[in-house]
Amino acid sequence: MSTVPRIPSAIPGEEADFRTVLAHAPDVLARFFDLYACFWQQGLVSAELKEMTRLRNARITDCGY
Amino acid sequence: MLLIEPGDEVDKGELPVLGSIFQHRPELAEKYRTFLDSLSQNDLLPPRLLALCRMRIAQVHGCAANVDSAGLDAGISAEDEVALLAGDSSGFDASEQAALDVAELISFAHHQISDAQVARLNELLGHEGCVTLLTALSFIDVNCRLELVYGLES
Repeated sequence: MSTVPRIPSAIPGEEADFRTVLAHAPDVLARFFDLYACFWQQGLVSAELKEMTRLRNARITDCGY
Repeated sequence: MLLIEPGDEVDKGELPVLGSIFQHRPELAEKYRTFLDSLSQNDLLPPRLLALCRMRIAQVHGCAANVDSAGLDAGISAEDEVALLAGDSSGFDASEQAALDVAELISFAHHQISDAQVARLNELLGHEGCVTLLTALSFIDVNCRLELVYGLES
């Protein structure tokens, strides 16, 4: 796995991260964050439990995010 | 090509598909479908390319629900399916080969995806196409995982 971004930021002046790289596909970016907001901000599962599982998943997949 | 089958009701006494399971959370289902549509219904990625990747990722997972081309209507021949099962991508075009190389790894060997493989996708598809494809592959993987977790794989 690379330690440097493989795709540059699509937003001038901003570093490459998940959002700025996904911005190369603006429609995908907009719909992704619309989905993500629904997933994180609504539903029966608490935000704390979702955050714990996110951290656990990130550790298992060795993802710094 | 749709990345998730339609499903408007939770339980009609029929074999459930992932789309119907999602209807337990209708708003989430709608946003998930809309998001997946942005990955599959564009001018960047041919339906055939996505279908091949979907089948290959399903093969890697052993996810029977997505392992063949039935219902995909994406121009996949019987010969293509045989080649895909055999791991022989020599008959596919350059973009399909490059996409399948990454699809092969994205489920269980994502750390092995190389700079060169991503560079090749950038070269063939451009940044927008590459970003869209990698996101699509990731969510094809997600869908296979969900199919398996929900017991919908057969």
